[in-house]
Amino acid sequence: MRMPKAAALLPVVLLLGMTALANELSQLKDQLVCQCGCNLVLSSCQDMMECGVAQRMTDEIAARLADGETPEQIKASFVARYGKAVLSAPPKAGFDLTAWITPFVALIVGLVLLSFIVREFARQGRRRLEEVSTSHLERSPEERERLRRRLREELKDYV
Amino acid sequence: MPALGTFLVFLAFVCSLLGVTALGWGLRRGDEGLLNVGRRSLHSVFFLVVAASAVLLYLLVTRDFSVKYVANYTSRDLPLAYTVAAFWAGQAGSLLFWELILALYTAIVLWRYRENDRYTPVVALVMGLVNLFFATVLTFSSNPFETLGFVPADGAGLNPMLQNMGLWLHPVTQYLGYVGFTVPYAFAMAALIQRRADDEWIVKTRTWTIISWMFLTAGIVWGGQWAYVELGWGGYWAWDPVENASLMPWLTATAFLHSVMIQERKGMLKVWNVSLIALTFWFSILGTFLTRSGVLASVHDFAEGSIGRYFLVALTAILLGSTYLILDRAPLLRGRNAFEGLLAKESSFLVNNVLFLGLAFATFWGTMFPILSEAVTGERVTVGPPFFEQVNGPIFLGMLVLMGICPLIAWRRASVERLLRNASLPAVVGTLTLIAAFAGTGRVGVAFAYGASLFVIASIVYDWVQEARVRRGYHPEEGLLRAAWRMMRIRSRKYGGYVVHLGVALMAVGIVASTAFKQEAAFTLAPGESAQFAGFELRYEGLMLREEPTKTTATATLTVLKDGQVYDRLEPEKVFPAGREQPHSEVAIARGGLFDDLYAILAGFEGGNGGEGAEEYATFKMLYHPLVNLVWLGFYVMLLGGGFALWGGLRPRRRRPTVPASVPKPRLQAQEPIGTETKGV
Repeated sequence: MRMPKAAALLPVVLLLGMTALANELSQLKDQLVCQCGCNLVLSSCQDMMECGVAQRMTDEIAARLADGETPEQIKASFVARYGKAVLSAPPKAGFDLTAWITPFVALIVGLVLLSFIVREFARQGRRRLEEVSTSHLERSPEERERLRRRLREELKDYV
Repeated sequence: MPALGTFLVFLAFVCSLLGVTALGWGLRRGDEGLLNVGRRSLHSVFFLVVAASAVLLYLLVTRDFSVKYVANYTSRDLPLAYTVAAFWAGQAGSLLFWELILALYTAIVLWRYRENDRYTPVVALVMGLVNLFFATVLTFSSNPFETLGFVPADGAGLNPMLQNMGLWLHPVTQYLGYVGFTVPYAFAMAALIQRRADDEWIVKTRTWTIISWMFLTAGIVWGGQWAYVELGWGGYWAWDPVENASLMPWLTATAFLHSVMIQERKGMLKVWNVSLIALTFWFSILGTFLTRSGVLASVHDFAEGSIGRYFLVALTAILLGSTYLILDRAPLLRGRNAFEGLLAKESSFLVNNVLFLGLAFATFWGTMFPILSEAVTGERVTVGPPFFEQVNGPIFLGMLVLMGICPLIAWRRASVERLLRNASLPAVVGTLTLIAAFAGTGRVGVAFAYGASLFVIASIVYDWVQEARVRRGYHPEEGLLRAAWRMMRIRSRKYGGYVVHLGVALMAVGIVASTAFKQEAAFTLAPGESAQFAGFELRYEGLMLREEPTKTTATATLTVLKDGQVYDRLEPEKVFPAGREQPHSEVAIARGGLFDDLYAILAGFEGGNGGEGAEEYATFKMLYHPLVNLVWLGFYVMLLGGGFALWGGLRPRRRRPTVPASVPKPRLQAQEPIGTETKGV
């Protein structure tokens, strides 16, 4: 008797489903902060503090995931209950978006300013080079060879 | 005895006040007698604080529980090593420890530069002001000698999580680093107050800065290592406000260590360097404030108190005072700001500085954003690891790439062609690594991090070999290795820096691998049962309960087998201290590979004690951290590099060969790098 294909695939589907749930639970434990006052994400608090609050929150998440709720729904309900502070990072919306944007804006502004500064330094450098005497270029070949030898001799002490 | 301690701290406060007043007045009037009074007062502060510290140690060791601090942080059964370390385990003691290190540094500076008539008193004045601040806090807000009014039978004991070797390593080195930055800051401010725009303050404080940087590096990494082995969550960095507070001065100090080289070589960036060291010192005080005030919720808040307002005043005063001095003296500090080309090592150092400052700002911004958000929206948010990983991560990656490029760019002026030629081999190594890592892991971020790290290592090795080959051109009798070693010795500062970079690259690989490829599983086993994890077989042998008057310890034994052979034995514990609600875990770690860790946590158990047929189910949380030991190895390589750079700075310099007067002076000045001949104003 041949087993129907769907029945044969059932253990695989169940296994994949369980793995997906475990992954979602693991991710949510890193995205939600324990409400015991430790300011740590659930996964850290549970291990570090032996925290009952973290365990209760984790159990609730696991149960709701098993009931078919999505991670977004679970996060939204936790936010409704505890406030935004339950999320381990600020939402990327409204005023909290500035948390994410500001460091990169500051970095870009810094790099743009730096490019102007370096250009100005280089411009001043060129101007100074033009002012510097170029009389050494007018030396005789013998004199230049003598200086080159001397430079090589002196470099020996530093290389 | 506690009264003596209180008296000594009060005397230290009086002497700090006297020292600062005498130095300030003496400098104003040019009165040498007053300056001497000031110096002696600060020396007295050192002796008084040493005496006060000795008193506190005596009270701790003799378990004088009439003293609140002793009762709060020790108990009769606390081992002597932790009883001594309880000195800095709480707020009041740690502030006395801060003051002890500061007073010691002040005394060393006063002794070391005793012959300098005009400069040192101003340095002493600035350091005296910092001494005065801490003596004030100790005297009026956080006195470690405060008594209870009664003598409890026993003390509360030290938090079990603090009872680790880390209590000796992390806080001590962290404070040595934090406090150490007071010295370059004091010299920089003294230079500004004295209207001196030369590089003397940099030359005099170079060693201090490197030592302080090394201590802070050690403090940060040993703190992470402590968390890793003790806290039982398997991580070493949680982007906690207090951790961030220690990272910020490290970032600005590292930026300073790079940019100061441009000032030394070209007499440029004077305002920038003064600002960086001021910012570093400010962040050091902020770090102490965040650790001890409890203004931001942190797992490190082992003690909170009312010292916040003192620190806020000090932080404001440092910020305003430093800013005023820098702005007021800016015209004096204007150097000959000229680069000979756009593409040069100087430019790359400036990009490096912007990235370091960007990282410091992102860390500061993320740490402080909850307060800002609450002030603006009325609702507090949490800024945790996901934020810092997404914001700081890309900047760190950019920093790694730049670390690879920097060694390949020449000072003064470089050409794109030459850079491309130099970078080609390291770039090939980096790109191949990137491709291989992507093919192996399928993760873009990880592949880039690996590629960048290998690029850094390859570019350092390439530059080293190139310089060794140049040396062999002058010294053909030397082999390549000997020439490389000689170059390393001659340019110890440069190669010390390279070794530090190698350490950073190793750390980066370790951090990325241990975070991205961490494996995690939980098993509930009965004795004799086995489970498979990360290529190992874990056999649970049984559980042992050990009851002592102060705690009950459950120890589970796991035999680790690989390919059927016994590989290691793990004994994770769960400790139930008497009188405390929460148990804590003592993790067990086995080396899972050359640099990998197999990490076991005893999450729970049920059943009776000691066999007799009783089933003792135990639940284990197992973690596998690939390459995590590269993090610690990278740190020790960094320390080695820092030490090498320091050694180069300390050993006597070889004298330049004297040119006889008869030899005509070579007229090569026109080819000298612009600015190098004009250090200072």
